[in-house]
Amino acid sequence: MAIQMQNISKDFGQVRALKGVNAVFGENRIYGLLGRNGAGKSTLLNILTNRIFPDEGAVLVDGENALENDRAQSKIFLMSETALHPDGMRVNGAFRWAKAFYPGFDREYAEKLLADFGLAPKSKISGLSTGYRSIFKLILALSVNVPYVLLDEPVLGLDANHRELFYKRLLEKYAETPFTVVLSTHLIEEVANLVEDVVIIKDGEILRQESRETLLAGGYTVSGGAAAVEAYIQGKNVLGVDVLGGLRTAYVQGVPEKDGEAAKDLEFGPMDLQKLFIQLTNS
Amino acid sequence: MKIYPSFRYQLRDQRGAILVYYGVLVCMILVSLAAMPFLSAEGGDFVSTNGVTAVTLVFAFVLSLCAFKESFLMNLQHGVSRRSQFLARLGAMGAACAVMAVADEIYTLLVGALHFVFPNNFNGNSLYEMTYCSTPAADGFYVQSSIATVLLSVVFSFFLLLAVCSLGYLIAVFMYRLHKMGKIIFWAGTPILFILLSSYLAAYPALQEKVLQFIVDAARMCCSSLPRISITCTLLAVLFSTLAWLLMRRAAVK
Repeated sequence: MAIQMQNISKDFGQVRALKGVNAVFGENRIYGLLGRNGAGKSTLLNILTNRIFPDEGAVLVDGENALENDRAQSKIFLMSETALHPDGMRVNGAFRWAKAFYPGFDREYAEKLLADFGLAPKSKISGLSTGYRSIFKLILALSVNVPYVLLDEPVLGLDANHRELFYKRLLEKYAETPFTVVLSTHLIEEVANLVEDVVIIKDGEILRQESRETLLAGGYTVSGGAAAVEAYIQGKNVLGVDVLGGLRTAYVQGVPEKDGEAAKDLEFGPMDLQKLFIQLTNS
Repeated sequence: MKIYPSFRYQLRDQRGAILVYYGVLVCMILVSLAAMPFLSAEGGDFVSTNGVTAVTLVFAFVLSLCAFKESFLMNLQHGVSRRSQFLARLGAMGAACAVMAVADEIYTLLVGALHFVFPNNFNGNSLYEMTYCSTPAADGFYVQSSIATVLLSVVFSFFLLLAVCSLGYLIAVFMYRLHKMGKIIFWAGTPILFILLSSYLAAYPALQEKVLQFIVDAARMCCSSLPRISITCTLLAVLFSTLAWLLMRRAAVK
């Protein structure tokens, strides 16, 4: 039970957006789909949901080819940056149609979320601000009750309070009835503790796909006085260094060497996902 | 399969416009009735609504031009395949055409009924009656409104509407698929092509006569009776719909 992407390629004119992508979104996991601007994240999500066609390759949903397949597509819901609802439609009208297309849509839960986020059910979708439009789409995504929910820039335009509320509701929903969530976002620090698996895409190719623990276990942070840190990181694979007055925090790949003389007076901590991402995707 | 919800959505998408259209037609009758005290009873002032289907054809064409993009995107948002969308569109189009054909006939009958109350002020005949019931009665109105004529009028309107809606939808899908430059070339190029063609024909009168004769003969062959026009419209609808499907099956979100 998974979404499998097999050798997917996509060109837009001279631009190669995706190059033979092979990846899997397994069952009941929260994925972080990370990549720089133009890396191919949205293209990949659009291909999974038949919004655009791949030039090569196939997408399988629970073993079925997803291309123009209603049954396979009924298991996926994509909340994209682009709004595909008609301009004149109201929020409650959109809910009514969501129920018609996805029988599992939980109208009661959606209305509860509307109240939580302070969005009026009779609002016209086209009249919503960027933030509230994102909220509307998030509410739909959380209420459709399908096995695979794909969220492309889910918190675009949301203030900190609404972002926190969204992450809370997402985790509650996930804990109650697990489903697969794919979070495509640039706000890596915010989702770092939320995601279980990480897929990093760079220039249309999958750079890494592994669990967050495995990915982060390959490195660590070391903090302390500037001189001590500088001495410790000599000869090591350093991803980056943060400077705060006389203090340094270095992000290092490998296994920490806590016993050596150079490690005295230093603090060791786990690797930071965002720092790792930046290092991996800097060209 | 999500054909049924898609069918419902696409039908619902057109419902409002159709209701407004017939609401306007009914309002026109009401306004005419309200004006009755000011009209001459001898027939100098006349309210004529002959061949309302001709107006409905224009409306249906415009309606079909607007029927693709929003519905296509909304359906894709809800995981409906293009194939299901297309099949649902055929159903919705057929249903809308049937409703409009019946509504046109009801409207014509309504105006026809007013003719009996205000014989010198109201006149209403269907497009079918005007086209195929060639002999007017002594009072100038066509002898009709037997049940058979009413049914044949509905059939006639239905097939005409079907062909026009298919053409409108084809143009809508074609426009969606075209890039900006393609649209400019199409909308600028089509009139230029017609002008060039007509200029060319004007320069060669013999050829012009042959072409006109061919058009007249073809029109006579295709439209000279109800069965013929029904078959012609069905074939056109099949042709336009097939082309629309060929364009739609690879349409992507823009």
